[in-house]
Amino acid sequence: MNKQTTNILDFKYDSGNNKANLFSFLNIVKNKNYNIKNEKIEDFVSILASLLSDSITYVETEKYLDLYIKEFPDFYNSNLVTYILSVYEKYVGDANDKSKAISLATNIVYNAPKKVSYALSSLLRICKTINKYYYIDDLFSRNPDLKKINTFDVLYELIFYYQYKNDSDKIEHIIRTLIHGFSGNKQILQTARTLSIRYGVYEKFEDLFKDAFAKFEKKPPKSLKKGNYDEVFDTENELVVNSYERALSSAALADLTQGIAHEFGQPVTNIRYNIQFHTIIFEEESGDKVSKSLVLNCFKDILIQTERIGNLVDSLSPITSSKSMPSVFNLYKDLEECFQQERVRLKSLGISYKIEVSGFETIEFDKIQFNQIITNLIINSIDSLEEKKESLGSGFTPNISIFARKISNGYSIEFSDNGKGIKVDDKVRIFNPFYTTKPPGKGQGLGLYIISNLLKMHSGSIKLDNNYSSGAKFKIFIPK
Amino acid sequence: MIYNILIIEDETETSKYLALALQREGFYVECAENGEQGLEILKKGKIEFDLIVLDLKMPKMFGDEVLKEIRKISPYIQVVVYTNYGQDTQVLQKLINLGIDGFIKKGATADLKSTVDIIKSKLIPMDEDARKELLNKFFTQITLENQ
Repeated sequence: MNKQTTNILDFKYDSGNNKANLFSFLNIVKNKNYNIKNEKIEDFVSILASLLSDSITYVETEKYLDLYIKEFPDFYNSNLVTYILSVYEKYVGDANDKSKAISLATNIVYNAPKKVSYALSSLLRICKTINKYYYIDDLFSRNPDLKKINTFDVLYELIFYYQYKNDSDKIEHIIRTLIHGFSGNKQILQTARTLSIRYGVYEKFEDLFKDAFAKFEKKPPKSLKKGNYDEVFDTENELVVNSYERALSSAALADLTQGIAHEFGQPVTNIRYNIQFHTIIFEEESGDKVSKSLVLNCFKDILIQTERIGNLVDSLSPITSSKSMPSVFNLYKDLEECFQQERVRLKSLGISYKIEVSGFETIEFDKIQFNQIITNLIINSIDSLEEKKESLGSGFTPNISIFARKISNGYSIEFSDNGKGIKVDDKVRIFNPFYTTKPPGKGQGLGLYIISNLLKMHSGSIKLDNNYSSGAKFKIFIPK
Repeated sequence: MIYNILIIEDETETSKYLALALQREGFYVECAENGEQGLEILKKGKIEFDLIVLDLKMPKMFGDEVLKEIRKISPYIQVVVYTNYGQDTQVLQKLINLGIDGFIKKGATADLKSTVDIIKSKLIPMDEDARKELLNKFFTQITLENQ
């Protein structure tokens, strides 16, 4: 083989495990041609990538690259550095060990101001994959200004960082920055919209999105009146949101049916096994007599299982029945009663509660359903406060508070606690059936699903307050 | 030869009847109420189990996580998964990759006898008649194909 190793395309075919070729090639790039044009750099990168993904050439290539980086004049500011970083990120080390890429990215952050954004987004991506962000935490604490970098690459990755940090304020802030800062870029705006839906904050930005997307709409043809044009635009804009909501509700339905199937499946299995087992036993008995105690035992077990089915039916009934018996009752008294029902656990955990009803006294609603709503919320809060207390110990003073007031078209009831709160990625799903974050055995995951359905039936609503960070806060609306 | 079976199932009522039915067939059966307990029994190694019946939806540790740990302790032990959760292809994929030897569905179609039969068929090799029947079938097929 007498081919010239300087020819990059030939080199690809000759390389194999021939180190000498590789070294001489890299040397040429370094000494003579390091200002090679971009497409050649890409060839160079693809050669490196293939050498690094081949177990035979991997070790030598990696060693040589280290050496090469050290000797390369002003390496961090050269246009090669970002390519090598991307090769490191993708091909060097396994998914959990990206130490090479991490140290190179960190070096770029400190040594090459123009390439900081690229290095930072790479670092954020790596941290996202290993699901540990201490490199970023460290970098940010040394250099807080890095948080202010607002290129799309970095902002996009920062969302996952703040999801990890459970910081919904920051996520909202980034989405807002994306809308304002990239108002000319439709793709980025679409990404921002998808993100806002994912984190359950779309409603907050709805108007901003509408305005931003309106700019991209073609001018209406003359034959179309303005009214029609608005309609066309609205349809397109809502298509994304509606299809998302549809997907969400069909996912919720799938969860519900699968959950029901599983919950009913257990007692059904038990009853079937029980009867099938006793059938075998009884069939083997000679004559017609069977042991009385065996029969009674069998019946007892079946009854227990049917009770279990009955309880499940009871807990599901508010979802399916639309019957309601509205009555007028004193809200404060009723709320107090709800707390009284749970007084044993409230007292044993030292949870204090506060009820404030402002500007009105009575409310009209189905009292049993209303109590179900409040009791469910109280139980959720107690569970959450209990978990937080277990982790924080005696220094923590748990409390729950309810603040109800009259608003123009109905009543607003704010229910809050200072418990462990709800994680950013749980926020969209907490109203789904059988979705629970509680430890096993603590709940079926139906509480909030039932609450939101009960309120929907009465044209009311329940929403999670995304801005509340010292626990969980729900805003309930009951129409007049 | 007595075969040893371990049932890992949080529904004690289910495992009770399954254990009773298996014991009637002459198997030695132990029950664990959750994955951790099951793994503890396995790690102790007092008894060498020939087969594990594993539920999927359990508190603390899900069945697939338990299976992963089981495979670390004993890569070749037979594991039959039984559950009334069967739709989740992702979980199934994972189970298949970790190596399961059978899948039994609980719930509305739960059948104690066929469950016992499946477990039996995993442990007890084919009897003479069954083997002859299978060979016959095989030869008939070959003859047909050659004609």
